[in-house]
Amino acid sequence: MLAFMLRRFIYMVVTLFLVSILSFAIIQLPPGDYLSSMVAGMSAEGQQVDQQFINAMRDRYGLGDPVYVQYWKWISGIVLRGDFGQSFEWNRPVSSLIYERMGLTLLLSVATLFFIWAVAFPIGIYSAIRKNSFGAHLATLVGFIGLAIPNFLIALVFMYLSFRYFGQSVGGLFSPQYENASWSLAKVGDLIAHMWIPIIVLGTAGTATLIRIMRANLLDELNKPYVTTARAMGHPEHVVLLKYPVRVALNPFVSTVGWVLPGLVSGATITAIVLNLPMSGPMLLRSLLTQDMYLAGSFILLLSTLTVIGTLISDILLAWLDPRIRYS
Amino acid sequence: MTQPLLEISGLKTHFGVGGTTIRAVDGVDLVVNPGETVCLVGESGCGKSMMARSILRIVPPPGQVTAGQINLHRQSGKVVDLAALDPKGAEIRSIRGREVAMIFQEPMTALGPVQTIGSQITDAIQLHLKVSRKEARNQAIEVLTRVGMPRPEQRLEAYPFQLSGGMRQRAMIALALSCQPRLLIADEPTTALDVTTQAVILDLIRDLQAEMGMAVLFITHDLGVVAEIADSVAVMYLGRVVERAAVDDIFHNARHPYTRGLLRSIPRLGIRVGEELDTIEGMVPNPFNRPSGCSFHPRCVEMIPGRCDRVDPSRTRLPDGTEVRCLLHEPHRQETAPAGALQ
Ligand SMILES: Nc1ncnc2c1ncn2[C@@H]1O[C@H](COP(=O)(O)OP(=O)(O)O)[C@@H](O)[C@H]1O
Ligand SMILES: [Mg+2]
Repeated sequence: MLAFMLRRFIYMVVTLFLVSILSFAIIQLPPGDYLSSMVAGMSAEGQQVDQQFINAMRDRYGLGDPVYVQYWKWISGIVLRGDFGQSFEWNRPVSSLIYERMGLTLLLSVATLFFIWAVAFPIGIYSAIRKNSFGAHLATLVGFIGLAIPNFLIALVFMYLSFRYFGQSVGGLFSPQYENASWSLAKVGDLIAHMWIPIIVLGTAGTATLIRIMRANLLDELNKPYVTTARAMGHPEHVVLLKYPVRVALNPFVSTVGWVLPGLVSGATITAIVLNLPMSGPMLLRSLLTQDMYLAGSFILLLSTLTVIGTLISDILLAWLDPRIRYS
Repeated sequence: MTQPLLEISGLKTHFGVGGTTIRAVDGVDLVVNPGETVCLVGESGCGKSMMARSILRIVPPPGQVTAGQINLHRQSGKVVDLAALDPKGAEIRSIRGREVAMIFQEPMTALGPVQTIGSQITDAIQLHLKVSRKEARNQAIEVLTRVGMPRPEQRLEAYPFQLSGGMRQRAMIALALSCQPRLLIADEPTTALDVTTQAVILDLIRDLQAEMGMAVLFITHDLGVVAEIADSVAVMYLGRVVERAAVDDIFHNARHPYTRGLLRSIPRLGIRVGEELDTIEGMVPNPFNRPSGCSFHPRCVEMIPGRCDRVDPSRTRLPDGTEVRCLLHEPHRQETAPAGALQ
């Protein structure tokens, strides 16, 4: 197990290295360098540009140096000092812009993941065991509807419902009075009260998919001879089901950490815009549109890192759950 | 005579699939005495596995035991009709694995893939014998030793995929024997194994039987295996037992034309190249449209026209104890078949 984890960890580091090169390449994509754009922008607005400042920046990012030096200066700043560079659109350090958003994004994603699990697990098992029951067909129908309706539409419906029947402020993760307040217990409570809408909206498609995967997997497992063996040994029906086939059918559940998290972190952009969520998606989109490359590159780097870490966690969980993976 | 351990009469297991009924088991009569080995033989698809599963009431849906009795003389002296029990109920569960255990054909997939051998065996022991985890573990080691598993303590921690086919079948046998059942049902336990391993597993089952004094219902389509281990033999054809006799009578004095056909189709030593092996003509009919009269008549070389295709033979008991369902033998002393067996 330890060797397995070590191997996976090394893979992860290699992947992260490649991802960082890619992010760096994206930052370099627009013609000219970031500094010239900034200077051009500032002069266009009629501001005086301080030559000393320009020189300091030039040195800081290694502009004019060979590419690998520039890369080194950029990545070492991130890894060693948490310095992601400067957002020229906001004229602030990137790090000050993204931390809160990444934090909320992560929080919302993890909460959504647990929501997906909590709903999909029992319904998936139920619809496999009673595969021809009314409830199973209903779950399939609701699941298909959930998959077919675009998230932003579900979001609009929920916004209407929450406004009309619960009198909540529409959109966002906070009520207006907490928006810019510093963190307190009351703010946390307000966050939780607002979070259920995005959780349901973001989780619907994943839940529907996972129910289908769980159902299909369990149906496969239920017909395997080892289930008959367990039954033939006299185990009661719930043990026959939960201890043996459900254990095996759990694998895709764990793998979801690998694909749901990145999907939520990067794919929820439209929902986040509709619901006005302070998540990473809208800001990434905006930074790409305005060619705010240090900001965009940092987002891409962080999102990819989250994806890779998510995959690592799911791999380790899988190996822990399934000895066949652990020993191969 | 001793009390029989298991007495099956008129057992029917049918699969109702979309309006049609597949009669997988269609009126089986069978007796297993304590400590005896009964071999159940017949071509593939004749209902051997379904008949075995009916005993433990683990027929897969939509299959159902629809008629007949399966009387088991329990350890307590009580006689229970397994066919009348609720297949999910507590009574049948207290019998499964404890008094009647089963080994399956597929050693590769018959054990849970994500639990260790040890945990599967100790789970079963703790379920039936109400002993501590530690005691269950000791018993598991003991039973693994008994089935000839090398280094049983380490194997307790092994997962099925880490074992070879033969070792997995040993583990499966250990699981089945873990609570010292009085009847072991072995459904083609060696079919999926290579020849050498087959012989080893067969010897193992025979030794264990002698050692533990349990009865074995051994299902096979290999008459070579039958000759080696059987005390008595039941020959099945299309969901019915067509002949039941002591093993010597089957090989030297087979009565049913189907049994004789099976015997002729065994490759013999000394058969010359090019010489054809006798086979039974024709195919096994589809179990939803069984032929009228005796269901074997379309393939039977001794078929009596006008009789075999009309009259369904009943169970006839011959003076030497052999039971046969064939019109050729009906004039002998006839025993009335139990209600429901004739249709
Ligand atoms: N799940 C099922 N659904 C419908 N029919 C089945 C099913 N399983 C078995 N049968 C029928 O039962 C008959 C007997 O099968 P089985 O007992 O497995 O034969 P065998 O003698 O080879 O062990 C088969 O011919 C098949 O038609
Ligand atoms: Mg079979």
